[in-house]
Amino acid sequence: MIAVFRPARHRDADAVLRCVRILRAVQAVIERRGFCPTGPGGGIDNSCGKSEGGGGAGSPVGDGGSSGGGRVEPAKSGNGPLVKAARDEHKKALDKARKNLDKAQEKADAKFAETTKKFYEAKDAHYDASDRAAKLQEEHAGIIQRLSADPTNATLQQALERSVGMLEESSKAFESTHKALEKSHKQREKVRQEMRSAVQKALRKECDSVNKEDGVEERRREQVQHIYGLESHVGAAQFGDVAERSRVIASRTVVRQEMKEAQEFAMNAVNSEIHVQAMTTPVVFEESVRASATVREIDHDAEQLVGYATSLGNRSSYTTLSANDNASTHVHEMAHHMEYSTPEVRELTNDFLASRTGGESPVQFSKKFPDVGYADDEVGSPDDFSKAFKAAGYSDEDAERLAHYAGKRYDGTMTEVLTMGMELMYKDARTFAASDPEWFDLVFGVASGRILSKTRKARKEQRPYGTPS
Amino acid sequence: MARQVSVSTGLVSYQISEDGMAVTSRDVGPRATEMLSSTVRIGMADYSPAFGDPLMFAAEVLANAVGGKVSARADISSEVGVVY
Repeated sequence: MIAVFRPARHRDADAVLRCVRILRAVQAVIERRGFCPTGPGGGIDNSCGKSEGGGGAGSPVGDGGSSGGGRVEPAKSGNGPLVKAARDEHKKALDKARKNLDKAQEKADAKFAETTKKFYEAKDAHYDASDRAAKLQEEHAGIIQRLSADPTNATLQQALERSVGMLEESSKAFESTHKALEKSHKQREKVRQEMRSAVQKALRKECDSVNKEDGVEERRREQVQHIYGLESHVGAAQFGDVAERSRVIASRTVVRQEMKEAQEFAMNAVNSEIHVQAMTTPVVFEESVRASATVREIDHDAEQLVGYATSLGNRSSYTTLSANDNASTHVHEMAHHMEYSTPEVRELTNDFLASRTGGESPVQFSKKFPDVGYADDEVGSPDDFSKAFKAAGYSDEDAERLAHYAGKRYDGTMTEVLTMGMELMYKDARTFAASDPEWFDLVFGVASGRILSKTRKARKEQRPYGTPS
Repeated sequence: MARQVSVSTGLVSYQISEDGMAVTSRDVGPRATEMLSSTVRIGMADYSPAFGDPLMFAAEVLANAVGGKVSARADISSEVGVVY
């Protein structure tokens, strides 16, 4: 008897719980009540989360042991001194923006929850059929192996006939569940797109409102649109064969579609008058690579030069993407450039990260999550970032990994709070806002420029950031 | 050459290649592997750079689908000045 390893996956109970979480998150927003997806049964008391699932005493880097990631004390609020001041200063505007977002997404939410429920049901049914087919295939292979050693064995011959029949039957079931999965996936993506359009309108409104308040004439938006239309936007940071290969990959329908979706989101959710450089960073495609952002300080200084934003040739920062990457990954890498190219963003994200993960010992990802390809120098601590990922529909296991990553620590200059937050905002902004309002305000406030008071003031006064007014 | 990762249920093994995340197997028919490739592509919609190596993530999706186990591979090492 061969023992078959069955890893945790979206089983029926898990799928139902996820749907309940999504529905409750939606309901919580509608009812304007606190929501805590980490609470028992996805309750409505948002006082929990910090102390739950933390687990155990502190563990040093590399421990990789307890699921709590070596927490030594409860995480503090996400309002570090800088973020708190920014949120307080813009409280009225942030509240209003969140309200607009609620309103925009309200209609699409129920439909999305329903299609999501159906998708997970189809996924579980397909995985069950696939699992059964794999088991039968294995039994079949075992019978053939034994028959080759004992070809005249009548019992084995009968078993082989039976197994052929069962394989055919399971193959039909596999095929039909696969069709159902593809159909439900398409339906869910269609509804997600509708939901995204509604949200993007609300996000765009906020960007427009920030620029209007600052008396900024929207010129860079057109420049961004222009650069997105240029073939040289892809591969501009590379030369010769690398650039050419990159353009060939970018011309594939699937790759183009994902890039287009990410660009559409950026055009609406990100204030181009502030983040023009990040939005137009050249992209390089490789067949299969872990997506990354190569960031250079020189680009920030050069951004002060007239006409810089429209030029791609002199950029030394770039984004590397894989042919298989989805739009969410494009958005993630763009957020790295947003963080690096605007000093105030870095100040806020580092303040936020310190306040959320302060007191937690960093965990080495390659030890905590072995065999998934993390480099040995990747470390971080999860705080309770997982609540936003669970509310977004991720399994507990995946949410745990994503939470660690959101709390990743570099050398004090970069973080993953903006990148992971932008992914959440892209996936489902309203659920993100409901599940972790502090984090949402930071991400939304940075993307729209709302909370970037110092940057906005410098732009208004037409002087470089950091110089006296 | 494109990297590959194996997923095994015991006697039956599958390979997943970084070239389009295509699934192949000597033990099952082409129709089945074609469908599994599509299953992996659907699963990749949930991918984030936070999950590490995309090929390993795709292999995890396949392992979950067929109830198998992913064969481990070495960690990657990150470059200076590059953030994921």
